[in-house]
Amino acid sequence: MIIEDEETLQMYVEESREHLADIENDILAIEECGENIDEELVNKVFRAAHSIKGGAGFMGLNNIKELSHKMENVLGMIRDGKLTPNAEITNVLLEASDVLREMINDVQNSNEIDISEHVTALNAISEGTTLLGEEKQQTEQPEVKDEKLPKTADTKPSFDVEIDRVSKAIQKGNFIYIVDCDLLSDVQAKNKTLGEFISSINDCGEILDCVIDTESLGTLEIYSDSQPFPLRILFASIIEPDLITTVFDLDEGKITTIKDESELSSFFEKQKEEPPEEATQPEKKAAKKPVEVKPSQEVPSKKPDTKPAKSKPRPQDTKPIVHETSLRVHVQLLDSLMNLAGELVLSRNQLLQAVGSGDQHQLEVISQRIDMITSDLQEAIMLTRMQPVGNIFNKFPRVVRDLARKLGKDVELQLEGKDVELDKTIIEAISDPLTHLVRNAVDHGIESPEDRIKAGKDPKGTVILRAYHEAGQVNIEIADDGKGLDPEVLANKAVDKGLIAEEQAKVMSDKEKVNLIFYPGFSTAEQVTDVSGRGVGMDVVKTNLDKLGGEVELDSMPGKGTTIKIKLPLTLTIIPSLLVSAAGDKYAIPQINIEELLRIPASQVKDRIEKVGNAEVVRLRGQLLPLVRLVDALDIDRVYVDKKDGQPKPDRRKSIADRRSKTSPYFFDEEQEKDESTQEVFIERRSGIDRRYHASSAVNIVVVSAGPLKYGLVVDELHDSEEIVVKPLGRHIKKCKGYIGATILGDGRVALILDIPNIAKMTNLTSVDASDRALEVSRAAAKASEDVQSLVIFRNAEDEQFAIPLGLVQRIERVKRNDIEAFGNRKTIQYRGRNLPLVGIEEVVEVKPIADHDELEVIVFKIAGREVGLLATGPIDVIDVAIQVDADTLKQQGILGSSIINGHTTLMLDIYGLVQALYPSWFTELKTVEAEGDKGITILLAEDSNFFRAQVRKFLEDEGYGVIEAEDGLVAWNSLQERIDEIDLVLTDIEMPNMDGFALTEKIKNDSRYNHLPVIALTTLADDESIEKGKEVGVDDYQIKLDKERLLEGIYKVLKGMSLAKG
Amino acid sequence: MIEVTNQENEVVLKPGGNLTGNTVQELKEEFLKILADEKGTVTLDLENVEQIDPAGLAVLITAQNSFNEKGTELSMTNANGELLELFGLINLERFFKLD
Repeated sequence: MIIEDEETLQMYVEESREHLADIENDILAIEECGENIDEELVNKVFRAAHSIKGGAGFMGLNNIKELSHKMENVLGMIRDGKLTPNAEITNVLLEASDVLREMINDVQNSNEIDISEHVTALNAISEGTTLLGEEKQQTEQPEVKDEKLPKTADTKPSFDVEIDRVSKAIQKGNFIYIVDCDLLSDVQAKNKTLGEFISSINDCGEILDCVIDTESLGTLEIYSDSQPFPLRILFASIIEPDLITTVFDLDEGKITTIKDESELSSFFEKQKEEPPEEATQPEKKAAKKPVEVKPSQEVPSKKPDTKPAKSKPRPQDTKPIVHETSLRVHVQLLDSLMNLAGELVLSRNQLLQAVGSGDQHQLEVISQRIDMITSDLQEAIMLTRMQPVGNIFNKFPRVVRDLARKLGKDVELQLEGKDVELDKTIIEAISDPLTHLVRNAVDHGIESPEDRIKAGKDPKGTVILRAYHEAGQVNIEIADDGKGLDPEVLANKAVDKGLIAEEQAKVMSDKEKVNLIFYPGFSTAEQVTDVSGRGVGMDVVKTNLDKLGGEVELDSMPGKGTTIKIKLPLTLTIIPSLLVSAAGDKYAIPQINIEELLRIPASQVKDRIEKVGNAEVVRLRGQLLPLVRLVDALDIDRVYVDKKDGQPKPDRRKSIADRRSKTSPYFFDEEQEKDESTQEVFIERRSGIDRRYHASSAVNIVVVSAGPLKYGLVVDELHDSEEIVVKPLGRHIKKCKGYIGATILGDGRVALILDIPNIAKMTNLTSVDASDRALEVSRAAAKASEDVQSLVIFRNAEDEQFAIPLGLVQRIERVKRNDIEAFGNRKTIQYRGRNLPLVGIEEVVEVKPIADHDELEVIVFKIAGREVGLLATGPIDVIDVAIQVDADTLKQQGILGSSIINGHTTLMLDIYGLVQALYPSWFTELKTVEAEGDKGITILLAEDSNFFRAQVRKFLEDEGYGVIEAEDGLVAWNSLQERIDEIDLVLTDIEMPNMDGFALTEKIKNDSRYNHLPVIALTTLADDESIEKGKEVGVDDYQIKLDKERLLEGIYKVLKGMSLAKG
Repeated sequence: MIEVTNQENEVVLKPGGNLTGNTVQELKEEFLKILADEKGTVTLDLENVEQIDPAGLAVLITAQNSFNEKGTELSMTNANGELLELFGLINLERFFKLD
């Protein structure tokens, strides 16, 4: 190599890379313009090629010079209108730019790379412009190839093996080697038999294919010992490239290494392109058919020489785009970094001074300063790592174009948000998954033009790649307007493959079903094409993104298209996180996974943590959240800290809500020693303070989310939220799934960073949505069998609990005791400029007076057309319970009866009775209205709950109606048949055994004998769904069970309407 | 040492040992003789052959090519498992006519 000045060379390489960066898309754009040449654009590419050429000439990089020169020629012709850019020319230009890039990236060896093929092709274009029309068809042919590689072994050894098999071998971690050896000089000369040679290879890996060119050996008559006896082996082995030569006992030059799938495909591509019949001809003379004349002889034999040398210095698993050794940083940013560094130095000097003088105050001031500068510095440095996502987006137009051509599809790629910046490491890491997703979209998503026309769509498909910021994250969307995914097909397939159970599939939403595609072992393509189905399933894409802390979500509308959304953190190296501890060790949870923190006080543990099956759940705002104990997930012994001696002890409780037993051998303390007899221990346990109420028994829950899945992680302690620096895990623990990394804490200890999605997987948590739905179903089932009431629970005196049906309550207000004004016995409060009359329970009912709180709750009801407030004290809660009401024991005026709710005796309040006792005058008006109603009317009342039946019957009878009772729909139906003449109206509960209210109504309304009867449905709480259903079956009106006033009014109205209709 | 059995229209060649070194040369000469005689079928009995070296393989391949050209059938019999496996690995099991 000629260049001695490393620095100049480096500059040249940097510059050339920049030129090349846009060249690809520009060439594509030129193709798009076709005949209407955008001169500016062509000039740009022309100039790029020209600059590369100029520098190369100066540096003595002859190959680069030659190739760029040829490109320049062709571009010049395009610019001058002598050449119309078509797909063929574009292809040649693109390929040439690929090689150019390859050479620039490995500038030291660029002169050894074979460029003759591209030079010839470019020459052909510039010289034989007239021929192009004919050539086109011929050259396009190799594009329509079937998957299996053509067998050309007759003339030139090329492999006959499914490319798939090779890529599988690569995925298993094998290196792929192509070994070219001469059996006579490499094996015979070393006195080895064939068997020894082959089996020594076969022991170290897998021979994927082996080719001996039998024909080229000729016949026995002309055969001589000195003629070469070539053997080519395609070999997969886990042995590293630097050791492989010893396996074969061959020179390095005879072994070619294929590192990844892109190299593999390019190798096979080359192999396919070789026109066998030309193989032995001398090249480069047929100027008339230049495109076909490819220096094929050179390609396979020369490649082995150049490739290993070139690929060696490259670190493994990197792609050209990844392979960036320098970054562009804005000068302004550098300046601010410089400033910050200066400030840091200043602060350091101050710090040293302060430490020397021992000035505590000064120390504090400085530490604050340093804190500030460090965060600024961190931010500025992070900024230098930010790269526009366009860096990877820009390669996709080419990918999509090539792929679409290959598949015979017409696809347009739209790029949006190229300027969105992401951390360099993330940009690098998402390149592969994104490529896969884009390829998928084109291959599986977009239909062929014919299918699209049939479906009434534009024959040109669109794939949109979009990046944008949202909530401190970057979202990348890949959207296509293709055929979409069919959730049912996916679900069935998942069931077939045994990934999910059939019952599971039934409760899944469509969205969950389409997201099944991310399950490991799931691949949708019916047949695997070499395009997207390289065996890399969507699950690999997901795992890769998971590793980055990203999330993938898939939305699909059958027939409309698919959108895949990737959420990515801005950066990976420093993340905000919450520190927690479990079993004495500290762990960090990335803030991004944290939804909220929940501390359940010891006294509520028993109420709020429940067991569903084997799983513990916590009730959070009406939702059940599965709980995972961190120690269990990580398989550490549970411990708790004994409050007496502060020592950690093993914890053997099965449920979180369990108490620690004193008789348990694990609860060994002095008390136990003192109390020898079991009897005493028993008493002790009973009388002693329940440890559950000790503050240390409170449960700390971190509510975390992993994609759509939310769960509660039970930890021992919650600590601070901190910005932590993520360090990769050591090799030996890399396989532990529960962690994504480690960090060093301020005190020098190491904390592992938890991998929240993986912990969910490890503990077999499935989507909460699905389990939620199951729960709902079971709740609904429970509801049907029992009479569930929504009750508002409150207190008057601290220890007396009351309940009232939620349906009666208008709203609940909080007032100050001082604001209540009293006039004689009457109390009111000013509310929105009016007086709201207040009633206290103790004014009517014999209960303890209301607790002496400064703030009181006012439950507002509407009675007799007026609002009235009931004074109460909290906590006010709403619960759905199936209650058995005892209508005798505690009954008195204003109280309907009593029931036991959550272990407390609860009085069911009769708000009508209460108000009537205090304001009897309100009801006289109403009475007169009601009095107009016909007397002698009989109502059939179907209601399964004795309590409610008795209550409603009482209302009705008080109003002078006759009542026929029925315990359920069936009984009601029978009574109806027997006593039809007496009955004027049916009043029915909805949820009843044997026959429910809907069924009863339907029967009545469909029977000509009874369909004149109005039906009023009674419900505990009228929800829209059941009202809708009621209307469908013919319910005339809906009333809430204990809303006496409205019920009576409703009956009156219905009856009146009926008599009007009759009249 | 190669045992040659001439029959009506068929020649059977049976090498006494491995197809390595000198035996290969001998085999080559025998094949050339047969090619000159224009026999109908040639059978190579590999009963005593355990190993084969690259030169031996080259002779077998070129001989096969020659016989193919002449329309003479060359078949091999009694190849042991190891040999068959070898031919399989180097993808020649269909090139040779193996019994």
